[in-house]
Parts: sequence; C-alpha cells; structure tokens
Amino acid sequence: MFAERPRLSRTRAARYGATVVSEAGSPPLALVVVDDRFPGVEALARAAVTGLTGRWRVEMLKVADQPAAMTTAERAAYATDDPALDPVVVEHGRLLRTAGAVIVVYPTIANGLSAPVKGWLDRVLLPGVAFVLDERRNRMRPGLGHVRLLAGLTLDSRGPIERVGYHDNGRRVIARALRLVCGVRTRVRWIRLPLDADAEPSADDLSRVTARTARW
Amino acid sequence: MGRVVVVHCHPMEASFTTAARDTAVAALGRAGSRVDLIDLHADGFDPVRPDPRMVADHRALLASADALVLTYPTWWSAQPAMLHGWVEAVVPRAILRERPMAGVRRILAITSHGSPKWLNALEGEAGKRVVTRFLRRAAHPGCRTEWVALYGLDRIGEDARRRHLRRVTRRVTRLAVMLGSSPD
Repeated sequence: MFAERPRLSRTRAARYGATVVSEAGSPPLALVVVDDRFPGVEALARAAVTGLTGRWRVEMLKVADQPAAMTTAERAAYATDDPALDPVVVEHGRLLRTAGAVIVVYPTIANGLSAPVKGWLDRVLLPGVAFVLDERRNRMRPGLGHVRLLAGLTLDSRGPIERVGYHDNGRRVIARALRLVCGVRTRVRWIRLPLDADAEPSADDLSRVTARTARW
Repeated sequence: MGRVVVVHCHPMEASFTTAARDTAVAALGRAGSRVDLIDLHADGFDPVRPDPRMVADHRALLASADALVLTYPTWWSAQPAMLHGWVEAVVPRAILRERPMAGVRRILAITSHGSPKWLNALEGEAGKRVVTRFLRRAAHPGCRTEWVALYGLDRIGEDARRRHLRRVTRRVTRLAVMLGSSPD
C-alpha cells in the first residue's frame, strides 16, 4: 500500500564512520549556513564570519539559491546507500562531516526557521551524514559527534511575551533536534537581534556580534 | 456542508503520508464535506520564491474554509521545508492580526515521525507548535487544533500503520460531523 521506511546498511555506516575535524596545523572548519535572501541576515553572517576567522577556518554556505524542497528522486534515494544526488548536497555533506562548528544564520519566520535553512537541513542531513544506524542494536547513532559548536544567529523582532507564548521553534530545531545528533561535549550558543527580517542591523549590533563570535 | 482545505506535502506518491491523505480525503468525501486539495509538490510550489498568483489562490481558499487539514511527514522535528515555505508565504506574521483564516474553526495535523515519541518530546516538537500556536492565531478565535501523529514509524509494523489510518478516518469523520456535514 505504501513504501517501507528506509533502512541504513552497515556498509554505509562504515563508509561515513570516520570523520576528520581539522587538518594538522590548521584551525577547525566552521560552516556558516545563511539564508541570504535578506541583506540584514547576510550582514549578520558576515559579522559572524569576521569574528570567527582566525580561531576557525570559515566556509559560508548561502542556501537561498539552493532548492529547498526534497525532490521525488531525492526522497527515493534516501532509502539507498547513496542518498545524496545533487552535487551541491554531496559537497555540503562532505564539509559537514569535517566541520567542528555549524552556525545557522536566518530570519525567524512563522516562529521558526526560514524555508531555505530548513530545506538545507532536510536535504543535507542525510543518513550517513547526520546519523548512522547501529544495526546490532537497531538504533540510530549521532553522526555529528565531531561538531564542537552549534550556534544560531537570528533576526527575530518578536517581544518576550510572544516568544514565550508561541515558542522559538527555530531554536528548538537547532539547539535540541540537531543537538541530539552531535556529541555530548557540543556547546550551543545563540544570538538574537530584535529586528524584522527585512531590517538592517546597525553597525553597533554587528560589532557586538563580531565580538561575541570571536570568543567562540 | 463544511468546506475543508487539505494541504498535502510529500514528494512521493507511494508514501505513508500520501496514504494518510487519501484516507482523510475519502473520509471527508463520505461525510459530505467539500474538499479543496492543495498538493504542494504536485502543484510545483516554490517554498523560497513562491508564485504570487498561487499564493493568492491559496489565501482565497483558506479565507473561505471552515477547517484546515495538513498531511505531512515530520523531518528534523518540524514541517518539511516545502510546507514551511507555504506557511511563510500564505500566512505571513504581518497579517496574523487580520486573521486570514478567520472562518477556520478546526486545524487537524496528520503527521508521522520516524523516531519515538519520547525522542520527539526531547527535541521539542517544533512542528507541533507551528500548528497549535502559530497557525491557530491566523484562524477563528475559537479555533481548536488536533494532532494526529504516528510516532516511531521506522520500527512499527503494518498493523500499527493500518490502526493509524483507521484513527485518521475516525478523527476526520468527527471533524466533518462537527462542521455540520450530512453523512450519506
């Protein structure tokens, strides 16, 4: 009546099992995933990159021009040993398997992540990248144990009452769902600027973001 | 006769979510509801840069609806990007106060999770909160939300799936009766 859910094979777990955090002598890689549809969000990401550079080798992934929705072929491939079809997804998955930090920069829309960022999570955090199956115990194992820092930077103009009453779903996805596939020592950091998605952060705001991210 | 908008989001026709959609649409039809089906993947909806005409059409459907039914899989604790983009476009926060779905008195979310319920609770169930907190604000002030979720889809068998589909039928039929539909 309907398709079976995908199962991971042992070969795929073995293939993706080993991860490298950094090359000898170079700083670890930090991935900055940014929804670049909004100039203010991109400015926020650039401020973070300025702060991170030096302690981290930074790679900025602009996701607004990537397809956000998983295609039929991609969903069908999810159940196979090679779930990544798009070369960009393959490359981002490769970067993710070697990243020491993942920083997500987005505007808070509909109380949560923006569609391009959620699309990036859906398409790149595939079996073998974000998690692997322990076939002996029939359980999923975290695949991002090498990630030491997980952070979110967002433009969110909602007031405190609205945020408490209607929740911060973007933060829940990053700091809880994504955190669960990271290691026990992974730190979570969060920066929220109280601005609309279309707004431009002030120079003071951006310099504060640079100063805070420089300590990460 | 109640008017129900069903928004479906899954890229594959041969999926459990699509089976749930078909079950829900069939139950609504049997109960005498008028169903407007929006299949986001089949319609080619662009979640990042949506077609304004398509958005206007969907808003018009929601403006005249009595109930909204969502069928989707939960990925990474939330709606797929496609459905998330649809919510962003059709119900932006800027017009929440205008209640763009003012006639909607029930929102029913039919979803499935690969992981068990305890793990989803740990993850915070962000997708559930989009339905019960965000979308509800755009609907009638007395709107109620219902959550029909199947957890642990990766491990359960065929019997549990069929039980879930029967549950979908019951809940959707109850919704149609509440809206004042006349069963055959």
